[in-house]
Formats: sequence, structure tokens, C-alpha cells
Amino acid sequence: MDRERVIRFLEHELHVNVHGGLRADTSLIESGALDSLGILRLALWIENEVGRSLDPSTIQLPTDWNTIDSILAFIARTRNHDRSAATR
Amino acid sequence: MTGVPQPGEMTLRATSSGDTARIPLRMTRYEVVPYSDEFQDTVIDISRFLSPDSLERRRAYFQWKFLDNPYVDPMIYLAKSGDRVVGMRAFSGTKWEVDGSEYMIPCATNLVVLPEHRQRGIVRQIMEVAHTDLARRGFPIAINLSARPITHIASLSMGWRGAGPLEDVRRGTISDPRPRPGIGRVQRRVQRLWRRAIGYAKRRVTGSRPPFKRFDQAVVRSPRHGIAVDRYPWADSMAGLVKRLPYDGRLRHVRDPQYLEWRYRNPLSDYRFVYRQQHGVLEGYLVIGTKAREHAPEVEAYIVDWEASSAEVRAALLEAVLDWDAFEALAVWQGCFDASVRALLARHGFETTETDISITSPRRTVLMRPLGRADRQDAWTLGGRSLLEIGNWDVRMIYSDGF
Repeated sequence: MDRERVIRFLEHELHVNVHGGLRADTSLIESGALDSLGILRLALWIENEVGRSLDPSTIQLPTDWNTIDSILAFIARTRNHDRSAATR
Repeated sequence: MTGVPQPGEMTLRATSSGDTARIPLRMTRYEVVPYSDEFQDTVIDISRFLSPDSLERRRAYFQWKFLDNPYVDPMIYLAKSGDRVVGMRAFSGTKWEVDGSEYMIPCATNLVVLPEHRQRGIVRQIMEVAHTDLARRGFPIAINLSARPITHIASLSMGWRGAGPLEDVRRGTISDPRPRPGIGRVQRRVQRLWRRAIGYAKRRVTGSRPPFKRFDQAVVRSPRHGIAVDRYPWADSMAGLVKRLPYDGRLRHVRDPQYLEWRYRNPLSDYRFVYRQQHGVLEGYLVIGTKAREHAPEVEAYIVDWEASSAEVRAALLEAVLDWDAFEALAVWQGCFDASVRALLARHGFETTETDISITSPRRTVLMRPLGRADRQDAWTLGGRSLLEIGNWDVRMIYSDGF
């Protein structure tokens, strides 16, 4: 998963629009760039990316999904976790 | 600022990350003010976006929920655009106990944003003001027992957390009434119409009516020894029973006569109280609730509270209700009950309706947020108990404003 893909989703599907354009560290949640519906759609997209449902008790939304970099890290972390769980 | 704001009209706060925080163009600045009496008609008016009920019923509901609330004055935060109220978040007063200590806790309830002001960051602005004000007033935490998926995820994004599922089990055939996210508006509408059509067809075929009509007829036709049914709470006796029963110290709403008298006057719900007495002493009660809808007779009923002095009394109450066979579906949150009660429910055909745990289709839970600093060591505890463990909560449907 690369940054460009996340940015494309945020801009084209969720219509996130910030001054100066999206960057890896642009605040999405804390700044209000993503509203409730946007966060819900982002959640559906991330669930699709990792291939499973996400337990809300395992996610700290304000930090885990606040920036493009944190979203990428979350997806990578979840995939790694699932891979190691599968090999156990 | 006056007039309807335009996208990009005003930019907002920087975040903790300083200049790296980009500002959304759609964000609009609203003035958020606390409720005062002058807003009463407006609040009742915009609540039409939450409920199809008539103005009269919405007024009665407002009176009951906020003005007659036994604990606090209305805790409602209003977003204004110019002179116009365009959104609100309300909290109702609740009183909880844990290990013998009592706490007033605001419970998040009605959330309304006028359609033309959605997706502008209004909810976050209201909630930020609400969190600050509720903390200033000394409340330790705020909770939400009735969040639907979109409110649920919005709450999580603002630092709220869930305690784990309340375990909805039901007996009967009514499908989960909660809207599923991820499906389109048209599809939801079709599903709703389909459910309504099925319900109508069933009522035509079976001759059934809203549940308490059948229920009341069945009670008269087949009285049960030692069991009484009433339309009103025996508040003193019920509170007395709760006080007499062993208490394990979990977080639960205080059920004293004052609360019970008030709670069961909800004008948007109907209740029946099934009592078991021995020698003039109340030994158990089971309360059934339904939504008292004007236009769509409810065919689903809920066990909103249930207490008994023994397993035998508890079973007798449930079996009486099931023998009267008045409901197409009956649901209860079983998370608060021990293994023996769960087994009793399972023996009588109650099954879980929840399958997957998902952030996009969350189970009913206790959502909460500390009102002080969330990073403090004890922020997520109350009375020494962790708030994030559902096993520390004893939550009945009646504590939620959804019933």
C-alpha cells in the first residue's frame, strides 16, 4: 500500500479537500477534515484493505487514523498481526 | 458571524502537530451555546429530524426527558449559524452507583444536524464545547447507551471508547432494526418498506394487533397464580426489592422510587409490569417495553428490566410472559446476567442476533469518555473499577433512552 493510493481514496472518494493539498502528516480526524460519514467510509475501505472486520475496541481512532502515515502504519500493523496469527 | 456559512468561509484551529495540520476547506465555524428556555420550541422543532412523531408527542417527550429529569437541568448544546439553531447534542441526567458510591453521569442522547449543515464539522464543534462544559460542571465521565453506527464511529474519533458488547438476544422473527452502514439510502428504504409490508401482512393474516393489546387479552384470559400485571411501576416495591437483593458492586443505574416513577413515564414507550409476590412481598418483576409509535404499531417487545429473589421466581416471570405468547419478537440484553440466566434464556429460545464485531457495524455497547484528561492513569476508571470492561457494568435496556 502506498501513500498515493490513500491520497487518491481520500481526495476522490471522500472528497477531502485541505488548503495546500494532502500530505502524509495532514491531520484528518482531529482537524475535522473527515466528518462522521467520511470516517465510516474510511473504516469500510480499511476493512476491505485488510480483508476482515475491525474490532472497535482495538483501535484508537484519533491517533491510529489521524494521518495518512498513521493509516498506512495501521494497515501494515494489522496485516502483520494477521499473518503471524495465521502462522501460529 | 451571521447568515448561512459557506464552505471554506472560515478555517479553524491548528492541531497539536502545529503547521503540519492542514485545514479542511469544508469546515465552517458555528457558535455553540448551552440550552436556555428561549430555545425550547426550537429544540422540539428540530427534533423532527430524529422522530416522525407529532409535535405534541415531541413536546411531551422533551418535557419528560429534560424538564422532568430528576437529576439535572437540560444539558443541551446548540450550534447556531447566525440566529438560527442548526444542530444540537443533548445529554440527559443519570445517576449510577458502583460499589456503594453514587455518581451523576450525563448520558448522550439526541443528536440533530440540519441537512444543509452536515459534513461541515459541526458535530465535533458541539462535542468539544460539551466536553469542556460537562467537565467544568464536575461530571467524571459521559456515556452513551444508544449510539447508532455513525454516531458510534464519530464518538470513537473524538476519544470515546466502548466497553464491549451488551449481547442482544431475542426470541422471534423480527430482523435487526438497526440500519446497516455501507448500504445505500434507497436500499435501506426498500428494506424498511419490506419489513413494514411483512409486518402488515402478518397482522392481516394473524389478526394480531400492537403487542400489548394481545398481551392484555392473554393476561385476562389466562391468569397465572401469584403473578400480577400492571401498566404502572410499583416504584417503592421495585426499589425495595433491588435494595434487598445482593449487589455485586458493578456499575448500574440507581433504581430508587424517584427514578422508577420518572423513567417509566416516557411518553414514547409503553410498558407492562409483571410482578411476582409472596405473602404480600414483591419477590420479582419483569418489565416489558415497546415503542409507542403513532403510525407503525410495534411488533417487537423488550425485556427492559428483570429482577428476582430466586431462580424460581425469575423463571416463573419469564415463563408467564412467554406462555401469554403475545409478541412476535422479544429481545433483551443478556450481558448483565450471569450464566444461569443466560441458560434460562437459551432454554426458552433466545438467540444472539450479533455475529461479527466490526467498527462499521458495531454491537450495542456502553460508549464513554472521561471528561478530565483521558491520559491520566485513573481516567478510565470509576470507583476503582475499569470502565472499559463490560463485566464491570450491569446495564439494562431501561437505562438506555432507546427503550
